[in-house]
Amino acid sequence: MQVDSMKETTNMKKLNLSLAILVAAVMAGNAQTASTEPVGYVNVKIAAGTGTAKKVSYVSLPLLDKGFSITGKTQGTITGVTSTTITDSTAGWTAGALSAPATPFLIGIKSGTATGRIFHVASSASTGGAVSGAANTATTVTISSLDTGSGITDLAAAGVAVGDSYEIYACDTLSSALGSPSTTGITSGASVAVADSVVLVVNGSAVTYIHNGTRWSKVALGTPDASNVPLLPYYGFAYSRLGNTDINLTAIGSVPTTARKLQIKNSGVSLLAQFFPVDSTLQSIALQNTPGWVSNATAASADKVILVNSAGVSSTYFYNGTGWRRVALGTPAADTTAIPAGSMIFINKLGTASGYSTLSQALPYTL
Amino acid sequence: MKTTKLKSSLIALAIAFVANTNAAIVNIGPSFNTSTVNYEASGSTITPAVGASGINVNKTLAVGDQFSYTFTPSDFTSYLTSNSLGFTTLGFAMTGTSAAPAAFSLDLYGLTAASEFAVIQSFTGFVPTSSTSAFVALTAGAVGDLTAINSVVGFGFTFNVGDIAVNTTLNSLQADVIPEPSSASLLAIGVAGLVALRARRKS
Repeated sequence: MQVDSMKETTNMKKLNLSLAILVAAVMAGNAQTASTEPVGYVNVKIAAGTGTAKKVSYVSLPLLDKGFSITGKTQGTITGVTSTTITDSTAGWTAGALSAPATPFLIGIKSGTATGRIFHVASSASTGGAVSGAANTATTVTISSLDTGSGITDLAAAGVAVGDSYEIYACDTLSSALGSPSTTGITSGASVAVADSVVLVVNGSAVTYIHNGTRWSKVALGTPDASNVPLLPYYGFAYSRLGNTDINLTAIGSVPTTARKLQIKNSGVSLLAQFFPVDSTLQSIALQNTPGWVSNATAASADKVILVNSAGVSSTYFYNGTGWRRVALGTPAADTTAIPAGSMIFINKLGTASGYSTLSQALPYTL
Repeated sequence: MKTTKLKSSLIALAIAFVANTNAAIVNIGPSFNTSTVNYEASGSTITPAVGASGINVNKTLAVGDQFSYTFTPSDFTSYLTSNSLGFTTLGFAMTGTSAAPAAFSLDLYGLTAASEFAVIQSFTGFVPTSSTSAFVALTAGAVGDLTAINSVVGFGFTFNVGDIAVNTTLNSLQADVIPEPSSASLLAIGVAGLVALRARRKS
């Protein structure tokens, strides 16, 4: 379900920053039920800095955006799969329409072995930091290096198969989600020292972005345009707020109706979106069941999770083999530690192992 | 038996001599110091200290900490492995200590014909745990604009981990090149061959 006015334009795929009239389930707890596929909203707070010092918030943009209009199907059945392409022979898409750099799309798998996988559709050009590849045709989309670079080198091997059902979602970008100083109140500046900054970790590599007053830019030599950098709903980001006021975003969209599957790097940092629009716990997310997860009685020898609560306080957690513990005096039990909707989960895996493992996370509510 | 051992040792020595005739690791671009590298604030989130021996980062990392430096354009064409693989032999001469492997990524930049910065190739690596400067090989990643390899002009270095205390110094960019045999090493190969031939005839 979408708000009617949102159907009018593809621009409405963007994170709507004004509180919209939304029906449905604003999920506030686990195991809620609803009779139809609900839409909802999640408030995402970015905590204020001091004006001279930054405060970091770990955030994500949950919910799946179906508030767009395209020619052709927004859901259907897969009729062909190659290592990097998905085909629906009756899709009827306009060539290139799903590959415009400024308005990226996602394709989610809703049945079969790969249920819960969501792939980024390659853009036709790398304009503004878009992730490019072959543009979509009337029947075929190509997934981008955001996914092929995370161990999905063969869609068939990842479980995608002919006969699976799929759905198209809109994907936010830095500019569509986080706006500009005049639209969302972010603090812009010529360098990271005088501007709010955003860190994304894509396939293990961190990249920092700022708004330079005119557009989003990558912090790098030449400060390249980053307006169209995709913000994937299944990964989170760290927002360092310099400005002395909170930023309140409202993510609007459809509630996920399937489990999710996504890639986690086997060593180093992954930034996971909390993804589901309900509060979760360390135990319910079950990261400890991810293949290769290192549990240990002492934190120094275990893979770790870092969470930042709404007060901006960072805490580190590890799995000791039987339960989650907080790194603190007495290593208190932390199985029930809340992970709010719209937050991000910072995963730091030990070692130097290459490759990725798949996290499978069950749907935390009943629809 | 003794003669055989002696000859084997001679052959081994000759081979070792050949292997050490030319160093496999060479500096490419400038050695980093205050007069050779320029800090680029627009491409940095932290400001390392630059001294006579290199670029030093000594802090507890936050994921995404990064810094960028430029230097006088250098031609890296001779170190290119292939157009598809890019550079596969590059690394840093660096020292480092850290409580755990600290992953980093590196973007190598060149100037395009339009005098704009372009990423030639991206790499990844780990901060070493030795206070002695040594070659740290980079893992080759995505290849970018190889047309700029004759004008390599700087790099962006990003830490991909947080909450790890590191103290690392980058001394220079290096390449692990395949040594070309010198006259002396060719002579050594010849001597080794003769010794081996004589040993074979006697046996």
